[in-house]
Amino acid sequence: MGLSSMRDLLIRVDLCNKTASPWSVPEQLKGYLGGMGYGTKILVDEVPPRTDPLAPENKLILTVGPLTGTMAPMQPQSCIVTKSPLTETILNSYAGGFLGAEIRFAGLDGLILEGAAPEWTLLLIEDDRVSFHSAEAVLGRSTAETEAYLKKTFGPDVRTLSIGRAGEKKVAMASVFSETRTFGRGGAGAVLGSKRVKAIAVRGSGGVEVARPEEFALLVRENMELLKAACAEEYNLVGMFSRVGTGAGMGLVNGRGALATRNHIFGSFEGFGRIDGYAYADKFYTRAIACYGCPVHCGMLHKFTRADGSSSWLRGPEYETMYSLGSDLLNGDPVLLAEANQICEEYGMDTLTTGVSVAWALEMGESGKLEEPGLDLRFGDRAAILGLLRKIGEREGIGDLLARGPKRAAEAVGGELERFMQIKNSGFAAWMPRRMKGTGLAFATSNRGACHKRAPIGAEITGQIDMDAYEGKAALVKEIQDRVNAIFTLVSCRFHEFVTPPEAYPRFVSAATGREISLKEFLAVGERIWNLERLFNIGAGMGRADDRLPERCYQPIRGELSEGAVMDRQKFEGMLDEYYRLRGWDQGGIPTQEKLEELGIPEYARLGVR
Amino acid sequence: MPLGFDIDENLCTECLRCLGACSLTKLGRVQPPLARIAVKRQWPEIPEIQVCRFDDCPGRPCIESCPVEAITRDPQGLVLIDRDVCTGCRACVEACPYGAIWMEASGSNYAYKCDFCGGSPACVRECVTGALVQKGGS
Repeated sequence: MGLSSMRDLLIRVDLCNKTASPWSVPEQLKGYLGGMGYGTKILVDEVPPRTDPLAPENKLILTVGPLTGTMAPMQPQSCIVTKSPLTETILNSYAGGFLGAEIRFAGLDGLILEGAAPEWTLLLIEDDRVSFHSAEAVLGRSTAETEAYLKKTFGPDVRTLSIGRAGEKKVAMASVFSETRTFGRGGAGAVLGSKRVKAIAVRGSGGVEVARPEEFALLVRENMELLKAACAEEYNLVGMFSRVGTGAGMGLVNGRGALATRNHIFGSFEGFGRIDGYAYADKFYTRAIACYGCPVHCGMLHKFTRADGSSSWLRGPEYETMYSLGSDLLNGDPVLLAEANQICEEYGMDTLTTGVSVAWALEMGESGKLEEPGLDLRFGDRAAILGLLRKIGEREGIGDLLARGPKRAAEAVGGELERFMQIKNSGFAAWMPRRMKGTGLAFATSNRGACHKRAPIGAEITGQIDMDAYEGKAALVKEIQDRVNAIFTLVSCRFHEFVTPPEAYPRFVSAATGREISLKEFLAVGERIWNLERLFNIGAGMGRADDRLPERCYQPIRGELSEGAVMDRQKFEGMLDEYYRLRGWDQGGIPTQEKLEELGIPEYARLGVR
Repeated sequence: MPLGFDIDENLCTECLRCLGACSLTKLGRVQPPLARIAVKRQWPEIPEIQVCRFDDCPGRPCIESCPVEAITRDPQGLVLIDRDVCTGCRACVEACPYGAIWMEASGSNYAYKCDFCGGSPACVRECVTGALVQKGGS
């Protein structure tokens, strides 16, 4: 076999027995390219869909892809696939930073964590060697403290991931941190917690080579030029991200009446100009921070003074957090927002589902259905926001209720799930289906709950297509879901595709791995993965009834910029019908045998049999 | 024009493309820890870029420090280590005020440093923010 960026090697870590063994990638897995493709195929093959996500039988697969560690720009991410304790679906979750490249320098395509450790454990991965260490010294510590400990103990050059107290306590929306980047969605932190893995440190001693270096270098050069040009453009989204971070677009979203505000009741927020990317850049010392090899450097490190007068640093907040801990909570105070973000970092929690849960709790508080001693549950209330976040992380008082996820929390308050902005139990990302119909369909049909990663957000919010139209959205959503799944096999940053044409990806893959692949085949990998995920979810008990929006989406938005905008129930169901048809699924949302044959995965039909 | 780099660490985003490009040029593979340039992380404060300053280095103590005269400055301003002469004594590593000379880890035990890619450094071409800018050379 010729040279390839892929090493065809994963490490299986048996946590029960504290052993690790190399696992050569079998031939049929190679067709899934890497990243999300590897993770999905391995999980679907090895973990039955009905598995309890927090049981030792669940697995957590951490992977990289063919472009990881190379000079290809915007390829820093690594991918976690597991069964989510929040959504009970298959989950894929991503973080940027430097961990992905280090896994590749270790000569690995990924890790498979199996079982559960008898006591709290730190894993040290040095190339293909795995050692198990006690996590006693960092138990109960924040993600930043834990990672500092790893660097002190194992050397300053290790790259890390860790969970905080929320993961230890199996909070349903606990996330996994990697330095300041986060595997945010779906509760992967709780899965690591259930396995008693507090953190992982990785050190690789090797380098990365590609199959066809000259061709690859040319592709890198072309792509860098595209990205540099985009960064230099005033109104290019990637350019705006590169100047002030992902929060650059808040004014645009607000202006379109699509900024979810006060638990999605309003579509605009008068305080947006105090908490958007430009506001942070104006008000606070700001330094742009990049992930590995990225010329866009959208991470913005801010120095700010906390309400108690102490000085502090925060990389962020990111756009989605400006919504979930900002506008959606009627919080227009950038310091409060930063402190709220820091609590989520400290405990290791997804700012989205956590923020959405706080929004719901505040609404419940204002309508007299929920109370918590010592907290005045009102929108915009500093003590209530920070107090609820800490209580979720500690599983204390009503925080313990919220930590169980939306469905269980709503049950306890008498069935108030329809005001909980969630799909498949995952909190809404920062977008309003009533204003963006295609994004609404993408949220409803996402395999991991209300997810914005595979939605036509850019096209709808910029007006490139009619955001309020229903026509044509089903086809668009399917196309984006398949395409993004394909690029998540690499594992590309989501923003890379904003600038890079689809044809570039198979060229990159071929030059890196020597494996010839056409654009059509590349996109088919994405569709195949989408269907595998769907089959897993059906096997876990889901179907059309779960591809739904909360009732609030059928009630008019308030606020002058989008007053009255609403999702029409019949038209939504019409989009869903059309979407299933285009997918080759039956009207219950189950892939047909014919479709599975076409995708070359007929043997997986058994998963979808009830 | 004096040879070296204009370095503004305030502009460094710590993306490490310079290290990637350097290792790819020198070793034929991307391996940042073996690059002839380093970005010392001082999170959250700005990092320190460690690379030879050539004509901007006062006194160029590495040349002085070498007991076997393996380090020389050529007419263009390139400060180079002659591997055939280097004994691996580490004196230059200690002497460099920028922490920009390293020892090869594997067996051979030579000191290595930036050679400005002979006049057109690969690292500079990757730096999109202008933290690292070429001065002089070709």
